Amino acid sequence: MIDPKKIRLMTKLAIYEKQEGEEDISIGKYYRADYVRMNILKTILAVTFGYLLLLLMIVIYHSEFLLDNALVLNYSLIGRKLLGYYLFLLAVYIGAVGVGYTVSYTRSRERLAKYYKMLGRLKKIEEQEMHRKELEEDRED
Amino acid sequence: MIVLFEIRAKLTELYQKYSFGILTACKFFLLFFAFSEIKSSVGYFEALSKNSVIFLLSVLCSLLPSALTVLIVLFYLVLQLWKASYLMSLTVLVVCLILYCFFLRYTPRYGSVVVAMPLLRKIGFPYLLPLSMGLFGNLFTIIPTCCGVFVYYLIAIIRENIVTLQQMADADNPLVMYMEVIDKLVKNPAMYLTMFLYALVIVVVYFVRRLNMDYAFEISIGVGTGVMILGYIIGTLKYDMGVSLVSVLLSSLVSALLVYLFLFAYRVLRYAAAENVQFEDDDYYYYVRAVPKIKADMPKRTVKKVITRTVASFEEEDEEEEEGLEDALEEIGKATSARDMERPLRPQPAQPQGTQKAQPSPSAQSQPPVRKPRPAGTPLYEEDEDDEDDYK
Repeated sequence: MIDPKKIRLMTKLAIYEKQEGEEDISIGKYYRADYVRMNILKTILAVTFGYLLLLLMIVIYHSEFLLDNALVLNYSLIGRKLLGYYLFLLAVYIGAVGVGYTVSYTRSRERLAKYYKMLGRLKKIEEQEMHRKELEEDRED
Repeated sequence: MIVLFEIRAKLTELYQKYSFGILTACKFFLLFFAFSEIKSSVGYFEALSKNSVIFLLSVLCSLLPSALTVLIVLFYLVLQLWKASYLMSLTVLVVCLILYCFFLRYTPRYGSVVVAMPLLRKIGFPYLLPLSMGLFGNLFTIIPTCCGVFVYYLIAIIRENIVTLQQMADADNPLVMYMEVIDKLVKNPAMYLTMFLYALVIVVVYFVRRLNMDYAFEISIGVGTGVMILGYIIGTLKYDMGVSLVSVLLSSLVSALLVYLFLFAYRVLRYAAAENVQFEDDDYYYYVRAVPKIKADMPKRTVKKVITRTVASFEEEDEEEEEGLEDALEEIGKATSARDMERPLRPQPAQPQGTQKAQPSPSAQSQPPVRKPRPAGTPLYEEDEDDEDDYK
């Protein structure tokens, strides 16, 4: 016999799994610190790669000037400035990403907690059904 | 007004039934439009500019996830530009990679906004996007919206100058084209003002729609449109925005109307029936305002069949009814007489000597027995096990 409560619960679980649950379940495998550190590492790689590409575009743009003044330029000063800009950019991104992913992890855990609670309720309903079936079989015997 | 709600209910029902097909079809048409626009703007690669190729790409991309679709659209653009100028195609590729590394990897769900913005600007309704993002999205949608504006200006500059730039490149230095494009892109106040305006509209619409007041969503659309128009007026006074005020006004109003229609399709609230409740639990005291959604069911159709009959058929029916009635009366008569024959006489109660009561007449004996009152809680009829099958 169809149990409407069970159907409703299973529908809610399925909708959650289809939408946010997939991401939440994959996040749930990590500890908070590990998850945030992993994303900070990815951000460092992305920012470094993006910065290098930007630098390439700027170098190509100023290629004529650089070639004309190749022997005169103060490379240490230029290098220190570029490194400074890079470290500043990295600090901003690490700070923003650290806060952002911490908040995202907390919210994901809250949603997962509700999901596991609903799973527990489903398990109880199924146990009750099994118990009822066993009783009916015993009565028939 | 009720008709509108009924139409909305019908459309919702249709969408729920055929959502996969409708979404796939919409994606196909949008992607076909996107590839066609890229072909008309910078379609230098003849093999990729064929309608059959565009059709096949649209069909393929409509079945893929949105992130992969955006990547395919980007590669299509890069390949189209490759035939015109290797440097320009590489420039576009590098710019998109930079945008992804710094901005777009943090808003993966809104990658399609970057593709949608140039298309909407091309057809003259770019204000649809910031209004929609502020109404249905969050503040992070500022990033892909501004990136979309940047990509639009990049492609527009490349498209407008590619012929003259090619001549310049052949004559002198291939890097001249690149420097010209970067100059026009970076020193473009109209682009920065547009980005700032769209970001402002998203912020304003987002915060106004979250206010605790009636018709917050509708008011936010109006306020966002007002900010957009005012911003363009101020911007046009200082810089050349590249669009006329009349077109901005008309386009903003039409965009606002379209966004209002999206809102109507998404959710309609009855503010007059709002309820304010307060309650508490162990941790918090709650002030809750519940606003019911307006839902209209489709009217149930009743089909009334009108069957025309002739006079002869009516007379035949009357005769049949009379015969049936007579048969029924005969059966009832037989049944009552049989019952009278079978029923034993009621036993007479013991009476004291000297007093005798008259025996009850046969007509009194034929009366049905007096029923005992039904105890409370007992069902009116016995349920058969077979009844359950009727409801499955």
